Amino acid sequence: MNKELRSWSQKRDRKQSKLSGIEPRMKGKFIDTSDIVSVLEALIEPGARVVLEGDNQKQASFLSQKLLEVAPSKVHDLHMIMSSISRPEHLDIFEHGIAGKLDFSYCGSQSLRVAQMIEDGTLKLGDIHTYLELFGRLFIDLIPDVVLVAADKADAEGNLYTGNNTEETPTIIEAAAFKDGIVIVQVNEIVEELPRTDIPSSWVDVIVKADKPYVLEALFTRDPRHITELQVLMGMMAIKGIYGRHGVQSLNHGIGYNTAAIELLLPTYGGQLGLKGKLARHWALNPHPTLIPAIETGWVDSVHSFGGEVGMERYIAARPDVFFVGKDGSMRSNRAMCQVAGQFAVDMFIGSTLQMDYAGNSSTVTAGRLSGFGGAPNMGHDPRGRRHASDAWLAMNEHPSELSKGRKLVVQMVETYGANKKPVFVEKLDAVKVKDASGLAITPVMIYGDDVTHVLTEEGIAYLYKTDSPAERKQALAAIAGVTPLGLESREHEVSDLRDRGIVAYPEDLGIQRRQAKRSLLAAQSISDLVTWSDGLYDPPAKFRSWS
Amino acid sequence: MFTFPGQGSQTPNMLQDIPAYVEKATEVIGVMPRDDELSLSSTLWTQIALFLKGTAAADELMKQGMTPHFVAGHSIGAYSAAVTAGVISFEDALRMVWRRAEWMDRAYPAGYGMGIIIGLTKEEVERIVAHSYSDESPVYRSNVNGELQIALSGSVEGISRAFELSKQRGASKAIHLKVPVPSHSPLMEGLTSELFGMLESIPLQDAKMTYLLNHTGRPTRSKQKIAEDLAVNAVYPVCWHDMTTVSAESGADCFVEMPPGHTLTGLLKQAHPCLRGIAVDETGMEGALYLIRKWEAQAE
Repeated sequence: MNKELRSWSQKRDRKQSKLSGIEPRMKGKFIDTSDIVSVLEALIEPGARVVLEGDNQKQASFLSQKLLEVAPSKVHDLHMIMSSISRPEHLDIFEHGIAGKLDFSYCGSQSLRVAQMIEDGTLKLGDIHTYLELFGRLFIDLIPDVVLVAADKADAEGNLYTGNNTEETPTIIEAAAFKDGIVIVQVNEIVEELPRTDIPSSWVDVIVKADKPYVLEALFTRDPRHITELQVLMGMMAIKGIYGRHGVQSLNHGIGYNTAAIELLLPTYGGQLGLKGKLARHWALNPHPTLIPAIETGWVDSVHSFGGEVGMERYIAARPDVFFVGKDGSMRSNRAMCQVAGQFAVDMFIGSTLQMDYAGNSSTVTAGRLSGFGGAPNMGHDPRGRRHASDAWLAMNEHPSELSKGRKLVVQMVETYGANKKPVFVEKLDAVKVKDASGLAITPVMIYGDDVTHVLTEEGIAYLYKTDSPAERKQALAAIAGVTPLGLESREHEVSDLRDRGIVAYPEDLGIQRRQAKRSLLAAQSISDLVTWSDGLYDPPAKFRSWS
Repeated sequence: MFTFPGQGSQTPNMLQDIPAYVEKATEVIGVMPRDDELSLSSTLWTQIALFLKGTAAADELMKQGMTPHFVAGHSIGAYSAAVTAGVISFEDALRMVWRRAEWMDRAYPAGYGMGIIIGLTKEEVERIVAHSYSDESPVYRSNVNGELQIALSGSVEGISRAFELSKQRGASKAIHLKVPVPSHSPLMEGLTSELFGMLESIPLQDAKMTYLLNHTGRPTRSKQKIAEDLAVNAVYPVCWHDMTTVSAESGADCFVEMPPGHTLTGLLKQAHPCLRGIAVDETGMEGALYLIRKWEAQAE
């Protein structure tokens, strides 16, 4: 057997030679804002694997715009890796030939363009991932050559502060910095002293001050004014029939008015039921403003966050017992850590969907749109690697035996008819058609039916974990599917049997009267109420300020 | 983004405030365009009037310094969009419009038209059409104006049959449109070769801004693709919903509808309630200029 005769530091040598090429333009780790395009042209090879930081909230928007300005003759056929495709230029680079291949996780605001560009061959799709898979692959077979990320501040040595909006930045940088990838960072400002160091200077190669602060979207603010009484009813059923019944201690809430209603009902309706301190104490959650009343009334012990939320910074800084806050007083979010927490360490995931088939499989992909997954599948499944027990987790085991284990609660909360007045329950998901149209290897299912333990509609709750056969699951779903085609298949004797066996519960079975479901039960009726609850520490963005 | 409406938006006397364009058109086609109520019941004069009106309004806005980043025209509006984007000259586009409209009028003098179904999806309408079609009285699924606003094209009889079925299947509305020809359906196939023939001798330029293709819903600047769109758009459904969605995803955040009417602005508000949309017919030219300037300043 012969030893391989080669240099074992080829990637390092290539990186060094590239960096020495731009040395005349470097002042320490810094380059002039106006040099960025030529530096990108010098550091990014054709065909390179490039991570461009597009998070759910934070966007490396200066670098993405400048990447669009490079000469396609010099920089082309890049293999882009982006957790979230959220800006027009993230796809414009494919139209210009600068990029060729794409691996991503979520593209909600660009979903039609992505579908068109795959169909037209403008973009070659690698895979669509969940967040954790994509992060994982950065360390296995998608190791980046160059990463383009965003930070709030840098000091003169090049240490970085990412603060509330840390999100993906440390994960992306780690994958490059320790495998001889090139780390390029845009910063909003350069300061003498950082509030704290989130990323040490030795992990960073090039820093550029952006012409404008990075783009940040307020994605998780839900105005309580838009919560309907139907959502109040569903929230009451969730608290009494799921959170309370199983004693759920730790959880993640999806985005939406349904779960915002639950957050605002905990202090009021939950309090009336005497549940305070008994459930919903530990959260993996973006800093939802609608959680403020529950925090202020002592329901919440801890919240770890994927990212920040515009306007919540001062409130979070003043509640370090609840949030993860540095010595400097600002939160540190971290999407990878929070996704791990949401996958393994919480008892329950509750979210919503656009379509669910008769086996409980659900998808947010609809005809012609390829929106990807984000993090919901990580949290919305039962991880077989979990080994710690909790009461709620064990409660999901209907047939205890010597080697049996518990199960995560995966709850889907939907109104039987969606916003487009079409039934949410469908015989076949649109995602199946999208799979064929886009040539995907697998159907883009958000949450698989066999992971779902509960489905909650305005009609009632289906306790799917109690069902024994596919036929019984379908009957249970039909019993809460209202007047949709699935609901019309429901037979009275079957429903009464399912109710007797506790597989289906209607509001009256839970001791909830529909007329109790009033908006007045919400702990806050408006954004301005949330500001009051926060003692004026919450600063809602202008678009949510209806009173000024 | 500038948008240009299609047939159905016409109103009597709509050319009275653009005499210069009427004059120019008279020179090109050899007849004076008409905009009285009776004439506007014909496809011929309607299409000519819509083309002149939309192009004139866009010219005026651009003269005032408003250059759009995107243009999209619905059906006949595509010709105004192409002129606005500098792809084809006003005169050449007008000659094509004249030929297109004349052909349609001649081919389908009576018994054909278009309708719209509100409240059903494209797939639902396609199933209904499959049940309503016959060779004697054909009907086709046509333009997708919104997720739940799907047009039909074909014989009036076939459309009426599809309407009955659509009401049984939960459509909230089904109405015949002010369009007397079965546009955007295979019944228009004979027209395509005539228009391609004309294009052979017409000089074209790549678009100065992004143009949204009617028949694919794709953005482009390519003169070949845009020319093809002008030639074939009458045979294919207009992918209007995709055209606005893709331009919104590409960064368009202010949609200005050229006169006449406000149909496209209504569709925009339903599909993208957060985006800004104004119809010049409602705000007036001065009002439109004021609002666009204000929004531009806010965006800075």
